[in-house]
Amino acid sequence: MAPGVLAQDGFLGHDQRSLQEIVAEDLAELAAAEVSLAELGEFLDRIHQTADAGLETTCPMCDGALSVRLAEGMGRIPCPFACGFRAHKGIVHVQAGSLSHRLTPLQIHLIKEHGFFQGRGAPFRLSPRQLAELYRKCGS
Amino acid sequence: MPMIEVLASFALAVGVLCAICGGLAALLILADGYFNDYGVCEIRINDDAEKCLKIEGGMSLLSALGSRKIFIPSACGGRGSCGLCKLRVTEGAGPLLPTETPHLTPGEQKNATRLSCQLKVRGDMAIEIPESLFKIKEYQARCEKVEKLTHDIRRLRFKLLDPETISFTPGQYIQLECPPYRLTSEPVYRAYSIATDPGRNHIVELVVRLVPDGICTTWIFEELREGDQVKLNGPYGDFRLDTESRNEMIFIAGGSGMAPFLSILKQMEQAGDERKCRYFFGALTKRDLFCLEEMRELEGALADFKFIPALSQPADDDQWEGETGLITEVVARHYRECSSQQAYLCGSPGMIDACIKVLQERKMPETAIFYDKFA
Repeated sequence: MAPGVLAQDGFLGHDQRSLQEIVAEDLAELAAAEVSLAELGEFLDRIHQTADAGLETTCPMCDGALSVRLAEGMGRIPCPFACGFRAHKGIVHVQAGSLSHRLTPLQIHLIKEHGFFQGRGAPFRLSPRQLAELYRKCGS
Repeated sequence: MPMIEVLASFALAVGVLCAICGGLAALLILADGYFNDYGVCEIRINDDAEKCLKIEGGMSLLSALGSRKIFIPSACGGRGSCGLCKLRVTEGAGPLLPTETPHLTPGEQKNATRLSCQLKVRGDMAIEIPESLFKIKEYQARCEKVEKLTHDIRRLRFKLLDPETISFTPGQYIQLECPPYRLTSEPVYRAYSIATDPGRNHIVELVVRLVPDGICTTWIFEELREGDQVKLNGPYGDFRLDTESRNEMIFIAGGSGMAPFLSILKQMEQAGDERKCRYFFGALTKRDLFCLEEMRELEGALADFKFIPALSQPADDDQWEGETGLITEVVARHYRECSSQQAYLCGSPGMIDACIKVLQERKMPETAIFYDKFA
């Protein structure tokens, strides 16, 4: 999880909480936003699949409420939970009105499979609140 | 208590604390030197007495071999993300590391295959390296030209200094060393397809697309200047033209995937290859197209070659009258059946996978599809 060979900046940012605390507090925040982890995971998968099918073009989603584009990188990065998953490197750029977010295939896996949104200050952290807002823009 | 005494007590406490911390740090440094001193380790290669290296232990196997000019392919420069630097380590490897297992199939784990960038040399080892890798060399080179091809793509030309020439097969790639700079404290290597005319063996040309925040491409775009000296090693890879076949060829690429085809098309020109060849090149907008003049010249020089650029999201002011749509859609429009053609693909994993699907739907056998995936 810490900065190292696999991820230069690590996954914890400047967060002082333990991994368990980060996961527990973020899942509570997501529940408070009235979105389940399964719903969010399915939504993030849909974003990734739409962007992937676009072959680096910008693709509209949810009747134009979002537009997504995948910029593919080289190589794969293993899941830091050592579950055997290897994500393609790449960044999905998500535009929702004036808001823009970055999602990575690994980040989607971490949220979906491990309930881990990454520590505060981590380069690819999106908080449960931000993602719940994005989810609602798509009309749930 | 007078103020002066308070300050003195505080200074004393700080001093004692600093001394304790300093002592602990010194102890750690000494312990590190003691416990991590593996001494000189022997690496036996392919059970060949002439290929036995004596190396100071402690570094990764990939780096240890590189220090003796034995270069193992590694597209990520030893960061454990590409999985290319696999070797069989038959003795002295120790247990598998969690950073290796995601890259190794159960079969590979069973037959002692290891990721050489993750494995540290801690004692004597016996390893197996394909003989072809001993032909890989390190080159000192000077950057002769940085050419802006598009807003995010550059063509680099390096003049080889030592050795002065390179022997490669068009389609192969080379590794460029990015030296330490603000984004990296140690040298990192990245793989790029060779874009050179094979008749010009004293230079190496690369076509590089900027990866936002990418360590090596940021260095290329912001730091590398004409006249700078660099290190390259290679050539690597099996992507190449099937020169035995007489079948029609379909080339498909996007972005910097153009690179190997620049070299392959020159190879075809020099060999007088008369095969029918159609080259589909995908770009977002007109500003993402490049090498159009070179492609027109090749259309004139080759017997039956056509370059077909396609824009997937042409801008309003592009005034584009050529092909439009995703590159997969364009290929699908041109071919109802591909059972007698060969395909050569270079680009992102998503593009390659989508193209393979389209070609196989059109009955192209798997054995007729060759690709260089940026993966």
